[in-house]
Amino acid sequence: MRKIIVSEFYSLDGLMSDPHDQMDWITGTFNDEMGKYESGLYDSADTLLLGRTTYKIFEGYWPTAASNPATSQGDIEMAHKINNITKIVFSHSMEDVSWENSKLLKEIKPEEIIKLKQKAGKNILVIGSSTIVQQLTNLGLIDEYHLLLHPVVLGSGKPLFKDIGQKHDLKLLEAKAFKNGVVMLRYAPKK
Amino acid sequence: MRKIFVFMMVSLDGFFEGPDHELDWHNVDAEFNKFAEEQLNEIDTLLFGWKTYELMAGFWPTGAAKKDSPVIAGKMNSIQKIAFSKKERKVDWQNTRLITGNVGGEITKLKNQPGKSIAIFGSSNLCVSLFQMGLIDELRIMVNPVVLGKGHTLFNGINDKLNLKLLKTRTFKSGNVILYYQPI
Repeated sequence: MRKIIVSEFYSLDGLMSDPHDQMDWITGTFNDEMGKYESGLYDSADTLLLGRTTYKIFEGYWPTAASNPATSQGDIEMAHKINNITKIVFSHSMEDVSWENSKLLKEIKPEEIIKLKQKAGKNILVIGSSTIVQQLTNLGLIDEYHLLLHPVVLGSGKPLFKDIGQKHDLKLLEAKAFKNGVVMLRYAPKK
Repeated sequence: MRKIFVFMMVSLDGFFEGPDHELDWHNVDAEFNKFAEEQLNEIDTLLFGWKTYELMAGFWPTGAAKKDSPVIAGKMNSIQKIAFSKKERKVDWQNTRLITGNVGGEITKLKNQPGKSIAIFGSSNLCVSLFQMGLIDELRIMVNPVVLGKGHTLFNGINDKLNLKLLKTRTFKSGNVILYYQPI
């Protein structure tokens, strides 16, 4: 069965974005090693699950990134991957999605996610999208968490694991420090 | 001037304690105990905020602590300790004194005295004040492989983003990862 992998930019105080969804704490440190990690991650997958907020941020950037002269070579390559991957957006309020290869669903239905995992194919990613991470964690459907721990305490912002309510023990698979001070912690749920 | 470092256990969701100050999720083993012993050998003074002081003072002097971790309990009990509280309180734990005012001045005085390093264990609120005064030299965060789901977030109340420089990391067999940082 293919895996559902969560990959998150993360602060030391457990937040995945600052109060204004500003990304400077991420973009300020992003380097080639992280680019390589991200690129490999997208290559390992063919489906991306997104919540509304992350979808909107991505849709505001990636569809036009490749045609913008200010875009870096790394981002142009990423843009192709993200535009091409199958995206499933979960939202009650959105009415349609216009970004290529996107599909809108109202809500997460566990049996549909399980069916999706059982289909042949590459891995399924969740990026950002804390509401999706929370629901799938509570359903026990996530196979790997990749937390890219940035060297910062944000103080306020959006917690990644907000409505978890219950203890989840994980198993550390790998800890890897990048040259920019970001540490990638890779975990699997403890069975 | 000697160094002040913070040592804090955190969960993956950024909590340093459960909703009722629980610490039972700490992932400790023989390798951790050896690390804790070595870390205690680096210091001659321990600082605590009041909540952490109470938790520690309620554990280390007990027979259970002396039985489970005799070496660490011995060091924790004999080392010089300072508990910070806004109110006057009684401190019973051996070698502890209470400081109720002018935290910055007292700590600056301590840093200027000769001696080994000074550590703060836990004590998130105290750390927030000291970060804002620029008095912390190093941060040691040990990330435990657990999502608690609820609890108290470390350094809650910090006004500004705290930017750090990663100094080194160490991975434990238990799945804990300790991250050493320096405030910048």
